[in-house]
Amino acid sequence: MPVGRRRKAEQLYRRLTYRRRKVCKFCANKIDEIDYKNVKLLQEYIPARGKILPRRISGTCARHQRQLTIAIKRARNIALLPYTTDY
Amino acid sequence: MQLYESVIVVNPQATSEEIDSFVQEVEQSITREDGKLQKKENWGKIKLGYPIKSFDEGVYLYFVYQGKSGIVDRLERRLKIKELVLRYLTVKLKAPPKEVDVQRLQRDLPREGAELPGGMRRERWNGPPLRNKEKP
Repeated sequence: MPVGRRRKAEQLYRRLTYRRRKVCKFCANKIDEIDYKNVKLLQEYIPARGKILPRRISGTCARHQRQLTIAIKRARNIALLPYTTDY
Repeated sequence: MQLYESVIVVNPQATSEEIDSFVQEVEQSITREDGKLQKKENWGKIKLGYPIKSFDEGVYLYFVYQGKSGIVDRLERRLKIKELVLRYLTVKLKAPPKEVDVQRLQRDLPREGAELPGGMRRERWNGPPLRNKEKP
């Protein structure tokens, strides 16, 4: 393959596989403890079916994802959040 | 002494006198165990995430108190007996409680196309149809 065409192909590949860099929202906003009473915050991590949004999609760091999971489960327990939308 | 906070969800059809006497009962059972009540709040009626005893909303009460280890057990034993109570949750506090923003307790219903963290979008549900919420 000629050099020029290869470079073009590389550029195209890079453009197609470009992904926006994900940043943990809690680290960025310096939220140390995730409170189960802050439902407005938690619901951003609850997609339409009421599940917990995985880390690979939201970009949350491991430490905050752990806290988030606990907070969501507590909020579900006292019915601030749904377990599922299908009832 | 340990700090605890309790959220108690109460029947929405209870009269204000019933709720008042219930709050007093909780206060008494805290003070009887040498606990110190630091905070009590009524968050009012909040829509539930799922129906409990076929109620769609509940009255949320919030207590912060200090006490020895047995206090939570004894309080929760009383709550279990009460028919007024729908749900309760007690959590140990590491730091003194912050102000609770009641506005943030209520959940907005999921919107389609809303931006999620990490550049994802809330998409339409493409799976099997969800069961109809209306009761016959």
